[in-house]
Amino acid sequence: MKNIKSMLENMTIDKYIALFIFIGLLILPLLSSRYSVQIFGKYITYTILALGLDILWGSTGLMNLGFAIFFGLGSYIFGISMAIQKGLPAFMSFGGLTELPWLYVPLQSPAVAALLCVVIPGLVALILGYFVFTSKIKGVFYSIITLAFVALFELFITDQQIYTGGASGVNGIPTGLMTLRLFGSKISIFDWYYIAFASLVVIYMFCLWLNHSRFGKIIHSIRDNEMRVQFLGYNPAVFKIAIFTISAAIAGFAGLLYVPMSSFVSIENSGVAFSTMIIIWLAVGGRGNLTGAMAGALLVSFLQNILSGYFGGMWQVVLGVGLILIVMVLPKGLIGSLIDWQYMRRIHGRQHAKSGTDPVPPAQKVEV
Amino acid sequence: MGLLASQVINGLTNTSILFLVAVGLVVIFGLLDVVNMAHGEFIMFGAYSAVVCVNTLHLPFAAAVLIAALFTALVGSVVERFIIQRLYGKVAETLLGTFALSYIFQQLVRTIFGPEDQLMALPLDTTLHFGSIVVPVYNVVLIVVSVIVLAGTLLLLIKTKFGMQLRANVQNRTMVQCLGVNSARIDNLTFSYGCALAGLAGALIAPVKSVTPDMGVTYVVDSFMVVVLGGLNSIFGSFMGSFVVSESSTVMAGYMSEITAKLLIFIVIIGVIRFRPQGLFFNKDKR
Repeated sequence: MKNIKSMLENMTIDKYIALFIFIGLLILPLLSSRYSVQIFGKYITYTILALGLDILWGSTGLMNLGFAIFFGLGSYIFGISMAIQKGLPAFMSFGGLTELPWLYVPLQSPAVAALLCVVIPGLVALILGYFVFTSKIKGVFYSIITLAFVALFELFITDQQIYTGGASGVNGIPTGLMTLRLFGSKISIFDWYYIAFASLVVIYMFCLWLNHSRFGKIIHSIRDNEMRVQFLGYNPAVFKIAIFTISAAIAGFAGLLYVPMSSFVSIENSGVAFSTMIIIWLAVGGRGNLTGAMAGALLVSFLQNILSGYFGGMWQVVLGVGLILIVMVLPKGLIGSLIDWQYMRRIHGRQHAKSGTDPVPPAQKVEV
Repeated sequence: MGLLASQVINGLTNTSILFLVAVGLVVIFGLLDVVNMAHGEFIMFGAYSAVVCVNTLHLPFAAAVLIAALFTALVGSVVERFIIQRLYGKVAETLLGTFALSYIFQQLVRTIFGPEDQLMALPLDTTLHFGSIVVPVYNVVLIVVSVIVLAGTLLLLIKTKFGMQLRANVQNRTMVQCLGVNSARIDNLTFSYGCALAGLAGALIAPVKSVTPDMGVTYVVDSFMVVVLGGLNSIFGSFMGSFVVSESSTVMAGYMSEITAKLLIFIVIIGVIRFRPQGLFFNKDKR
């Protein structure tokens, strides 16, 4: 009992906020309507996605401007799998297809599709990462290449109307979802919500463990001083490829969970604009401490939902002004600044007892 | 043969468009190290100012182009003074700040002009005939203007006092300040010049491309690829980069789908910068 009390006292503020978010999401379905369960289920998948980017950008310093591509791959794979459960979906038969393309045959089994949702994004990241990181491409060049990659992905998906539904997206998913069974019964939206919630907690724990493991220490060092890591005999490329693959797999899994929440998959959630949005979540919440990513994703998505109702498109101006203010005043993001504030307070408390010199905030170097 | 020749000439036109669009980015990204994600929106501002000048104020097209460049330079100067100035040296922050700007600019233009495509008549609506190949005169104008911009920017950087101060400012900022040069003013002028080039490009492409509030997004990605391929700080490199990208994509697009052509070029660019990570024409002396 005493142990738990001292643990709670020593916990940094971001852990408290994470706990608060988890409890809030846990009890939310008991208090609200089916509609908001669906909305918040969607936000949970966004927070998982944000965690994926946080271990890549926040922990390793690799700013990916095309991260939505992996979310998109996951959601397209599972979405198409759902759409073909009851024969050819409308967008394929309108396109002139009479039978399923061979590439989609394995997707007829939802279990295989779910597995591929994680494997394919990971594989894509592995290959792209291999090409990028084994050369001398660094910093902002990586960001630009990922931006170009997502722009191409968007073009490709829109172009392949017959296979992907093109600009209008994959339809016919709800009928496929109805055929899914868990322990012999249909999966309701509440079940999906709690599946997503449990995944979020597990992935948060995993990322936390990753950040504190030996591997995590090395990727932090790569972010802070890549050259020194090389001098110590590590090959940064291997670690960068590994973290890129892991984060892409997490994003793909988030994409899978997104499908039952939205019952619809389109380029809107895998293109350039959505990639930008993920970056904004992390910038608002703060990078490198996991909670910032989750809080940013929840806060921005929630505000977007509320404010775009009042202001319509002018919401974008509100978002833009808010982002500029955060970049100029709180460059570490909301949660990052809170952590600094708490740290300073604790140091001050201790130093008032000893009356020492002015404290310095912890080194949280976050750069591209 | 006819197809190939006409594709090559189309490629030249696309080269000049891409170069005009990208050169402002080279100036800002290469010289100030600011990843300007709002570059596309400055192009969009240029295009809209040209549309307003020609369609509403009935000014001649050449005047519209000049006004567009001046207007975007002014906007760029204000943006630099109040926002970008505080973010120099922090790449992620400049990227986020300019992201935010692009959101604001897009939405402001959408609120004022609406989301639909703005139509603009083609100035110099005549064509030249070379055998079986037909070339609109306006395309020739685009090519000529892009060559003028290339030469002008190079002259500005190499021959003028401002260019010398600018290059010195990039190499050793403290020393330049010690010599009594106002380096904040140099930064401001450089950013404004980059924005003016974007505005010029926007005005020039307004008659031939669609003018919508989100038109900038398509150009900004291509421009970044050109900069990466041609070399971060080389104006001439960006010209060669846009030549390689547009000429090959246009020629290939005659024989296969445009997406496949773009995909191939993307792979080639990744391959090139694997071996030359600073780009093809990176110039060490200018840094």
